[in-house]
Amino acid sequence: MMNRIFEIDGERYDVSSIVDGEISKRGDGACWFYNNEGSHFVWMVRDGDRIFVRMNGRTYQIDEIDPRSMATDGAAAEDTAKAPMPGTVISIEAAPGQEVRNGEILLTIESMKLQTQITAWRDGVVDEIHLAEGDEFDRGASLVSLKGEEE
Amino acid sequence: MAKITKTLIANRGEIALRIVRTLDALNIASVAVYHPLDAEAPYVEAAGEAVEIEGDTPVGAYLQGERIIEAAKQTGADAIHPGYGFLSENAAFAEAVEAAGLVFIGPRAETIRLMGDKITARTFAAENDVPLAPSVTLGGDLAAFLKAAKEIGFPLLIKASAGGGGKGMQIVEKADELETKVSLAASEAERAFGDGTLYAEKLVGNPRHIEVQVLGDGQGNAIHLGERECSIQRRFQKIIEEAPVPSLPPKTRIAIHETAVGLAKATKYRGAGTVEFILGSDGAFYFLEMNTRLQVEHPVTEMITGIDLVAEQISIAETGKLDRVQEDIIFEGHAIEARLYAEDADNGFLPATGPLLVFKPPKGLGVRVDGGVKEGAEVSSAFDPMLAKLIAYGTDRETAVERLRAALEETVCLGVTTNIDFLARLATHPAFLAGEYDTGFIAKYDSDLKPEAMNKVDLEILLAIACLSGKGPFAPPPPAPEPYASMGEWRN
Amino acid sequence: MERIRSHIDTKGKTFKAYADHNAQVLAEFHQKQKASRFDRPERDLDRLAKQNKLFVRERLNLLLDPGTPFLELSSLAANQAYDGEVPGAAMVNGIGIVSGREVLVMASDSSVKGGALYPLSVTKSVRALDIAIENRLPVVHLTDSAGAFLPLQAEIFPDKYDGGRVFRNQAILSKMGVPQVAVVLGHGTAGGAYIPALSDYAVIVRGTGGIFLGGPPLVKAATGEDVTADELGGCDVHTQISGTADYPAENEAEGIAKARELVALLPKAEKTVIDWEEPEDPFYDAEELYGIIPDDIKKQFDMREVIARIVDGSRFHEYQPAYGTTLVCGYARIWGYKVGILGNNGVLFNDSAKKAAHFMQLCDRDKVPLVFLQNITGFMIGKDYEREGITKDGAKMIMVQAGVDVPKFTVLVNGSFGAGNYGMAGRAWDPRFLFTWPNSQISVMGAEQAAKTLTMLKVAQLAKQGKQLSQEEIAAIQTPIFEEYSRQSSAYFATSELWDDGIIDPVDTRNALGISISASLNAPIERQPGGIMRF
Repeated sequence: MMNRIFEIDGERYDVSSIVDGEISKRGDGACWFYNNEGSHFVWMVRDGDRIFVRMNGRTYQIDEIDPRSMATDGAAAEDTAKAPMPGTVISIEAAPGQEVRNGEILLTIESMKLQTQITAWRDGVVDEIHLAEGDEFDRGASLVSLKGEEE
Repeated sequence: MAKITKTLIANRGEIALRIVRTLDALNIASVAVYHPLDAEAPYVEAAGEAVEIEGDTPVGAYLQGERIIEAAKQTGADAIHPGYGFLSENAAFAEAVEAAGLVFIGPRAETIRLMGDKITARTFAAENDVPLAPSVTLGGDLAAFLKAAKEIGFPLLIKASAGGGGKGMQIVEKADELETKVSLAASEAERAFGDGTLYAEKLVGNPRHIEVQVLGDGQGNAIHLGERECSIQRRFQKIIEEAPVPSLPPKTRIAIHETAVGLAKATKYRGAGTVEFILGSDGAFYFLEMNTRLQVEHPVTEMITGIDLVAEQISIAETGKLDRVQEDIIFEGHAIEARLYAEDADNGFLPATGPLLVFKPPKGLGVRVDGGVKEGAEVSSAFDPMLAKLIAYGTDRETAVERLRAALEETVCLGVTTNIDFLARLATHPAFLAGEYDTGFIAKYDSDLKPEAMNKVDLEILLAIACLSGKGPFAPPPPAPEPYASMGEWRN
Repeated sequence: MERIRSHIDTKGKTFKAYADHNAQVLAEFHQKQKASRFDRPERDLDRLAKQNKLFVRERLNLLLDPGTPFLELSSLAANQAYDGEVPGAAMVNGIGIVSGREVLVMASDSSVKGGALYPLSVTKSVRALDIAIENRLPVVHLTDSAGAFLPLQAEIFPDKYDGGRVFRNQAILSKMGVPQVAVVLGHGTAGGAYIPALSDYAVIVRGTGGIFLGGPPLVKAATGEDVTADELGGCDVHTQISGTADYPAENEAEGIAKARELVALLPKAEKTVIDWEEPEDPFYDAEELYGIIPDDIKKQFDMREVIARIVDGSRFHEYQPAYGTTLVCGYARIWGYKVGILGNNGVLFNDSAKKAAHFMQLCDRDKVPLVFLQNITGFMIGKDYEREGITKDGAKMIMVQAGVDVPKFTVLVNGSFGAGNYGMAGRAWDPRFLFTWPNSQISVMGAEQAAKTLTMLKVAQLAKQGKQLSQEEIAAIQTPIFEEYSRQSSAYFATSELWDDGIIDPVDTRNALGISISASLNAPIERQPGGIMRF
């Protein structure tokens, strides 16, 4: 069951996505929140994954956290990128030990006259580049690995 | 002296809007200048005309004196109001404005120069029987300065001569920190004001910061419009100000007024100005500085005197006369102003940026809001983080305090972090309620002023609201149809 | 509609006696059901844990929307077969809500013999898919079955409604446009491999999921090839190479979450609209049913009292209240849906049979689903009744009942004997759902009557041969017959053989019917209008 994760003041909360209550929005930010215990007049606005609430004379900022951005249970994301098809390594843009950002280019391969950039699939540190410039490879060959994620 | 028909406001934000209001009331055409970031700002919309300006930085645009004067000439303005900050205490600008044949709504350039330099200001003050705290100036001789500073004793306050607002200021508790802090202050002052000149003065233990509003006709006549209490400060930035000053012995109040007026007269002050003092717990007060411009917190004076200070500035600029005498000034009631800043008061007061998604200023009885932003505006780090001033007025301090509290509670600011909750905690603190505080207030009650922990009920409601606020990365399932929804978790 | 006025003295002796008796009956039922659902040998649970597999009910909790009901079907299937070692026939089926959508869930219970398919497991699967077909319910398969229990293959494999029927039903369901989503949580060998293959979407869990027509041992035996289950038909083989499955999942939770996502994307249900109003809880407390159902099958009670504790607001519009009084007919609402109720208050006579036929025609014409509450020993017999045409009238009732196009729902409230079961829409008459109460009995005739009859025949037979029997000897013949009959007519035997869709606690009848009616409306009601005949 999909839970939702929110962070308030640095604390994370894991909640069920089934909510006890309803909200009725006026359109300008004013809302009434109702549940079995009663109703509350609050001001609420959401911008992307950031939620601002003013309730009972206090202002709160709540961030919704994408559960996928949190480390998963041991069975971590793939650490090695494999070749989607046979080809040649055109250029290598990263080095072992280098810190890379999600989406940063690691190497470029060419196949069937098409060049593909292999980019980092998450923030991390490059563990090993398995091939050198000019190397040929088959489908499924390991290209580059990122260091495994720690909790 | 001639009637002013059109005024260009060399400023932005809330003060620009506030000046436009008075210009409208006086039927004087208004011209605004704006950097593209301010194109949608309320003051630009409110002004009769607007001229775009540019600069290396957004703030820099508003310091382009020549360009601004050109804009005034272009639009046929006959006067420029400099507001506060920016070019308001720039003597060269004041001269340039008058040289261009325009009226500078403010003091003469020489007064600006005199009071703009902390050292000349203090010298002048001393010559005119204005009490001063023991101090020494850093001339070229660092060693002599350090020696004299040590002689004054600790704790010591190092201040920039060329400017204020907390920049170039350092508190030195012990002798061994002196040299490091002096060089820190000097470099900060150099960066902020282009002038690293410093002076050191004895730090009065937790003094109160009291200032007096004065008006002068430029001929040597001056009156005061009462004093203001500005001790609630953080890092020398004022947060809450009030008028009149609570719990001030009548003799002291009179003495401060008289001293301020005396100084204004001595400078043949023209226009509106503020003389700032430090008041020690022993009742002794010392001259701090004189601000030759309108102050941010001027509204509290306006509320208790019923006098529009911007209108007074314009009247003095037009006629060269004060249209009132001291006896005409009646003080009624009490006013308190709280400054709403885009900053995270719970995390080191770091400036905050973001879209002002929901902004509902308070509208209660006795509440005045001088705001510079409207809902939907993007608060950026380009400019000063002050969003608005919330001013509450009442027939007595108790009423004003209650109205301020209610106004703060009513205010809604969502989308960018603001100090609204912090202001509410300040305004309801027992020491504030009693009117007994000094500049050490925030530091002293630091733990009281921290936000309370959230209670469980509120937390649950918040989380429920968060779930209902939108779908999040994984959209929740659509609701079950009937009759399933009504059966809940039934199992056979 | 008027509220039924109850005449039950809830403080009286009879009520108390019945309530005490039924408390025992229900306690026994709940205990049996709980054991069937949860009692498993330690080693089977350990095995699951070692294989990184979740217990079937944990899987269901992950699949179903939280805060929603689940109507489990035939939870006590096979409770009297295979020495009681295959509770629930190793599967959990039911109707529930997944991602806001009404679906039928079919889940292997791999904690029972590894989820192996016994003959009654096949019966249960075929029945579930028949429900899906008749009601056009999307199906979510949570498959984790070791395959057919080979020693009983003759009852599992060859016949029309044996194993093949499962896959035939899946194919027909697909042809009808009803979606199916499969999550492969274990090895689907041979037949089991077809479940995901015949589903629209298939998710397979890496490591534990497998799809192969022959498992590694069979492959080794047949061709000498040495291969692991994963290499043969694991997650990556089928999601990357063969395309037999669509989505890989790292673990069961992920796989089931993916299934939820798929169900959310299915086309929205287009439900048949029938007369519906905002529901109202019954006025009378359903718990009072325990004091209304007698402690002896021969004792009568007023079916209206039962109706009053099932329908909205306890409101009931009785049809022909003064005619054919042994059959109560009328309109009511269950969870807002207007239904036509037929309930027995005695034996069926000519007039009651004719009344039933007339009423059912009215309901059929007006798109009103029918609910049958059975407590029937049969049609009246005797010379007078035959002359009046009781057989003919019974035939009218059956003809109309069989021919209605509106959905039918049957609950065996107490006795269900002989032709009465037939007239009142028993199993053979395709009610969309048929539930029984734990006190109910079903057989061609009552056990006592049957024992007496058979004993009398035997005594007469022996008398012809000149033998006279003593009381004890007669009893010795009668008692075993009685016991055997009783055993085979008990609700537990019936449900074990899947002659019904599950025993339910009487107080759950309202919800069970509410869900059943809602589920049935996924299928259209095609009517051939015809005139109403006043029989």
